[in-house]
Amino acid sequence: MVFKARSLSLPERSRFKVPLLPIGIALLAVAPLLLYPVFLMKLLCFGLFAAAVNLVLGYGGMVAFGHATFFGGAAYVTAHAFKEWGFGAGSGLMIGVAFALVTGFLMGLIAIRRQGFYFAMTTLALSQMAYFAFFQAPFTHAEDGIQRVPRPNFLGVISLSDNMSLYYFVVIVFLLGMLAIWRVIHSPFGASLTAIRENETRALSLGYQVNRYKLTVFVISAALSGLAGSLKVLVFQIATLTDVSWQMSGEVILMTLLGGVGTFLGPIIGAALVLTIQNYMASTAVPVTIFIGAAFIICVMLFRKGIVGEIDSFMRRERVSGWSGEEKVELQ
Amino acid sequence: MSIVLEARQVSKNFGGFHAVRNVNLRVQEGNIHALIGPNGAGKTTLFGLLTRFHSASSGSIFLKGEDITAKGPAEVALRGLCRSFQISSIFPGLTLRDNVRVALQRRYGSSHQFWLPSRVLSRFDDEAEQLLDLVGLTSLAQRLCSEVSYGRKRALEIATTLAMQPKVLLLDEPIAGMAAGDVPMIVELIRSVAKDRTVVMVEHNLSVVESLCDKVTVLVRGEVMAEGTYREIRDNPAVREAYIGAGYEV
Ligand SMILES: Nc1ncnc2c1ncn2[C@@H]1O[C@H](COP(=O)(O)OP(=O)(O)O)[C@@H](O)[C@H]1O
Ligand SMILES: [Mg+2]
Repeated sequence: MVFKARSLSLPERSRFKVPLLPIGIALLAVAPLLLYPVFLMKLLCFGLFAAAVNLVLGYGGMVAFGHATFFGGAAYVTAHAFKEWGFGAGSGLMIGVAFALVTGFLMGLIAIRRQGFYFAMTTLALSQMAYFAFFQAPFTHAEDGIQRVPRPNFLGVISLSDNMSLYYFVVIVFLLGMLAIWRVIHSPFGASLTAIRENETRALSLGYQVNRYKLTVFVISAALSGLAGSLKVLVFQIATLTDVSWQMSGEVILMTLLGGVGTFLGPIIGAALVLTIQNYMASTAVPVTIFIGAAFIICVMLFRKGIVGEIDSFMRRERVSGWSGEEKVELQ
Repeated sequence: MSIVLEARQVSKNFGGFHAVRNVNLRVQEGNIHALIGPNGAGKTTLFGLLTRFHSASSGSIFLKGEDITAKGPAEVALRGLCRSFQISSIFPGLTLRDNVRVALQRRYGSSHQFWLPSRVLSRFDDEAEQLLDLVGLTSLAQRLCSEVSYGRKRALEIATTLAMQPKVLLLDEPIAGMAAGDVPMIVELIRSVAKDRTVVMVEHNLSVVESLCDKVTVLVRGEVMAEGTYREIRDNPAVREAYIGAGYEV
């Protein structure tokens, strides 16, 4: 299975310029007036998680199946730091990110040399090992998880105890995470990733040590997945084995695929879709997994590139059909 | 004149099949060195061995006297031994200019900067433009690579390879598949870039070989059959035999 992101818009090719950031901020600012803030915060956490996974999946072109380790591992570490060590909100998030970064580096170091299916299986195997390590480690409290985690202040003075102030804090962290992803994609390194994904052999012949680039994007993705996991602890005040399980790795890939792998906003749309379905299905007798599975199959059949991917290539077709030029004749 | 690239007793087996067998090749600095031989002779495989895309079954390879047998292809490229491919190898989803910029940013060592905006790539625009101009592609700089003809992809590949400013340039059938009208431009380009670097090229067009190359190595069934100037090679009966046997005109 190979996921190809649509060609990266290097600067001069960015087509429809939407002022994403102002629109996003405006939407996020008014959203809690319309929707339940805790649900919104969950969406932001998983949206960030899916967008981080998309860095590896869509932009790195590698199917990684172990990102729950970074998400859930960071959640455990942050929960422990809040509860037992009295960390503040900022430093608690940072230690979670640091954990995910180091774990990501180690997992990447072992897995990155394998290709395709073997890479996916290696990440899965390593994340299962991590799962059992977390299960055994006394500080995670096995099946109970770390519960009733306090919500510390940010910078000692800004209280996050009520849902609205927490919401705006989560929005800011989410936006910072998304900006980081935007920067990585639209950077010289992002261009290198595109080149490697498009033609690895040619990249090698131009002096690109491709595994180093893959490792870098893997580590960045792991760190941002960790940020999402730590943020989730702040919101739900709990860290459990679910967060480090392989189902979590699978679910986030599903979100990314649904929304559109290799698109900037796709994973967030995908996360919103999956979480909304889960939310509505939770009160019915229909098993959620069956419904999401069906939605997935329908989506893959109807929109092969995911929702955002389809919209994107529609816009692209519009643009291409508007072209005229001598090169067309030459295409034969 | 010193030897810049050397293969010593290099062999490559695919399964039990000897694609390249005990090849010794010494490329002199500043030369244009042709590698000729019938299809399946092992020329592309030898290129793969020299640039470390294939690992040798036995033997060793030296670049400027340094043993590079254990190095990876990217390291070798960074040391100045760069290749183009027989089947055009480009980044189809990028524009022609971005194809060149991707090579330039690697050469300048900025390809790992994930913290800078891609705007900074514009510092390579002038150089990219010059390179595209060399191969006559300036007017198509903004086109997606997947939208241009095969011959132009080949020309682009030469431009991206040159972007690395290689000391030794390995070209695998550079003019195959090009529009006939573009061939003289590329031949002249090879001649001019060879002024300050070494070129090894696989080429079937023997009049091109005659006009360009200082030295010719003939590879047949994975082995070196003959080596010398074009004239020496042309008059070698064994070479004529091998070529006529394979249906070529000499
Ligand atoms: N990766 C490979 N696996 C197996 N056989 C190969 C491989 N690459 C090349 N060969 C074989 O090695 C021989 C030499 O191929 P090649 O080097 O491409 O020849 P040339 O470039 O001289 O036409 C051919 O018989 C080809 O089938
Ligand atoms: Mg060949």
